[in-house]
Amino acid sequence: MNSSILYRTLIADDEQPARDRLRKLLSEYPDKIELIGEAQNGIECLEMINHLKPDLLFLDIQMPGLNGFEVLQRSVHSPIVIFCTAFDEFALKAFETNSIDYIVKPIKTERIRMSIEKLITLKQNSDKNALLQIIDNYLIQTPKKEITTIPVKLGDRMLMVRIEDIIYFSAEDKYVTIHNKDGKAYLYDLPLKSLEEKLEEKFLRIHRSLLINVSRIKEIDKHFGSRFIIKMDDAGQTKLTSGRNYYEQIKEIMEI
Amino acid sequence: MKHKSILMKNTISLLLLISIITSSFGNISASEYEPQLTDQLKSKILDGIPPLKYGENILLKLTGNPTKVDSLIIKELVDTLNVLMDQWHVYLVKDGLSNLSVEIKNKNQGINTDFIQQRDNWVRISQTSVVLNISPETDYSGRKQIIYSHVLRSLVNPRNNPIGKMIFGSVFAESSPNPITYQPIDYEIIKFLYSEDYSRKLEKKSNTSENTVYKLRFFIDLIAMLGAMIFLILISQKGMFKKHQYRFKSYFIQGIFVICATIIYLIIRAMFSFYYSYPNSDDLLISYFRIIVVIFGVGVVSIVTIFLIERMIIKENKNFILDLIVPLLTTMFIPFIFLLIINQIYRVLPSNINYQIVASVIPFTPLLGIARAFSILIKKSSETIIRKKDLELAKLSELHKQSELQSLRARINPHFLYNALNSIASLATTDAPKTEKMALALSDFFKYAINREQKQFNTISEELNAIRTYFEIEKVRFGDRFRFEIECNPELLELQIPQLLIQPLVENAIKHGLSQITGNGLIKIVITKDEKKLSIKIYDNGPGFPDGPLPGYGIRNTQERIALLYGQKASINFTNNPEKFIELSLPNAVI
Repeated sequence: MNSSILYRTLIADDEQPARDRLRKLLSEYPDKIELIGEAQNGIECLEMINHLKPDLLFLDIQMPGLNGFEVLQRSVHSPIVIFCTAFDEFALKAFETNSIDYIVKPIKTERIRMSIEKLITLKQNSDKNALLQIIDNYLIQTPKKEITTIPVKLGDRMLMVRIEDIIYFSAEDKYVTIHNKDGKAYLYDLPLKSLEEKLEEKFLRIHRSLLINVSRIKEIDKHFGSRFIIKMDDAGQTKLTSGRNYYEQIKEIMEI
Repeated sequence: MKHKSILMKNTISLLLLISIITSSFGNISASEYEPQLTDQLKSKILDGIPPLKYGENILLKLTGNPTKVDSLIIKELVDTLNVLMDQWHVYLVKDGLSNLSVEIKNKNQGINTDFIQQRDNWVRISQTSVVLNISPETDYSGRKQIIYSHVLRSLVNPRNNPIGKMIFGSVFAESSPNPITYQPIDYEIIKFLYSEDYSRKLEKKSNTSENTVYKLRFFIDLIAMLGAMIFLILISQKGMFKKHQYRFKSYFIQGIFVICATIIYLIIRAMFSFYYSYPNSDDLLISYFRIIVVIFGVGVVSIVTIFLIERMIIKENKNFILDLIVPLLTTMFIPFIFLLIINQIYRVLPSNINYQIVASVIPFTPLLGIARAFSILIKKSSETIIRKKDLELAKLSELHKQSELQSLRARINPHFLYNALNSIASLATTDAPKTEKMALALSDFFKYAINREQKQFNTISEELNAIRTYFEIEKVRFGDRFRFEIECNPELLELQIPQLLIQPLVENAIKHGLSQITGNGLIKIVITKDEKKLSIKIYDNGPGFPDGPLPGYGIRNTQERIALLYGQKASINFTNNPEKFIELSLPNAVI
């Protein structure tokens, strides 16, 4: 019924060859696609969306300035979005919805044809909040790049301490001490609070001044006064006593 | 660590408190009861093994060749005794039955005594006969002294009671001093022993603790109990009671510790007992020693019995209630029953063993049962926690392995390949020469990266060529946005460095640096060398390194690799100020 509709289309990709290829592939569908612009980075893309108000947007996710998600979060106008990216396919399953489609690079002619044919079923002007919701969910579900290393200054050199080798952090005054599995201790100058935020999945706060590696817990014993004695799996079989105020948290996370 | 020392502190202060209370208690009792020697004697008499006395009226028969004076002396003595005694009477009999015969021989041999005393089933004196050789020259007071002393002595058998030893020269001394002299205290003792008061007190002694000595004993028991408990707590802190298994070895080890605790209890008790000079220390020492041996024996037999019974009932059954109740009952009753039997045997058998000491251990056993059940309960709950943790740990280590594999795979960055291939696909129809160049560059780069010869080292020049190739590919993707510079003294080009050491850092600089900025990007590699080290710096003008923890494996893998190859001599360093760069320092000597 609406097959004669002409989509005003914007391409956003920071790689010239990628834009070239997409442009070429889209030129096969002059009755459906009207190319109105090409953006080379996220900032340019955002401006063009708001000014040109395209119906359709081919969007790369990794771009300088703003990435594809940030562009969508900030844009006022919301076109139909087709992500074009080298991301793994499974990572993008979440975007297979009514308002969004995705194409994985390298782009195949066949895949573009499918997307164009599918366009009719993708609704424009769909609720922008729904789109943002999907992006938010996606960003939550896909873990932030996993923290793996803590760089510690040792005189004029730096030691990359493996996160999995750290037994626990302890805080004294302003300093944090890293306690390694082989019993070594390193001073570190980030506050415990921000370490806790950055390492929240792997580490557990059990005391005002203790942050421990969950995967290095060997034994947990109940202690009087809503405390636990936690034996760590390190050379010295360190025993740590949790704080009263952390009782519920520990119980919940350790499922005990 | 902390709570252990607190526990110790608490226990020590508690002990101090108790010892203060105990000592002050002792003082009060001393000042209240002190000066009356007889009272003290009475308490001693009551405290130890009761001395034997006649259980019926005493029929005294005077035989031999008594002088008139002797008859008078005896008569006088019988009167005196009748005044002293309220329970039994002394009758002087001429003939017929008697249970106390005093035979006086007028022999010129000084003082010579035959003394035979028969005891009736260990309970009372039944028959005494005394033969006295008194020389005719002895005067009245001399004769009285001899007759009085021996007749008084025949009324009481001190057994192992210390009354005789208490007063030097008393007629109740165990080995009678010669010549013996009776003293007023001897009357007092007779009076006390043959009083109804004594019988009452003797009865009372067995079922009350009103006596101060008993109160003291209570405290001593308490302290000894505490000592034993501290021992057990210290042992359990060492993890000796950690395992709850139905195996004989663990039963035996744990049981031995409990026996040791009991023995410690007895030793502490014994020490205090000596301090307060309880009756007949020598005997007590022997008593304690024997009892310790007995307790040890009873303990070992109990352990074996408990083990056998529990194994029979529990086996591999995981019934929680059974697991709890059976140990409670067995631990409570088996040693209890054994001790009770032993105690009864000692009560009946004549022996030096003070059965009260055995009896004092008996209340231990129900406590032991409760303690054991309690510790099993705690262990069970913590075991379930541990089991859960084990499962989680297994899961986590599985995840850990996966992430390690992923990090290895990540070394050939698939996104790089997909993007490059997308570029080639795009160029293919428009720019054939560029496409060819790109495809060949990609092939060159992967040849170097895959490194089929498994080379660990390569020349700087080879490495830089690979990086140039890599950069060519990236440049096709990103166009003129990036510039790439290399500063390296040609002399250094032939030096050997680890294969693919620099390239991942350049890739990082593009991925996390240049590709994030919209302006013109610049990557610069600077290789220098001084006497100490070879320095490789990679500069870029993208956003700085994050503050604090780092994601990804790039820098970490690089550091671990150079640490593996060079040890402490190599290092990695990065900074954002004044310029952003990452530096690799390799030792000079090896190169």
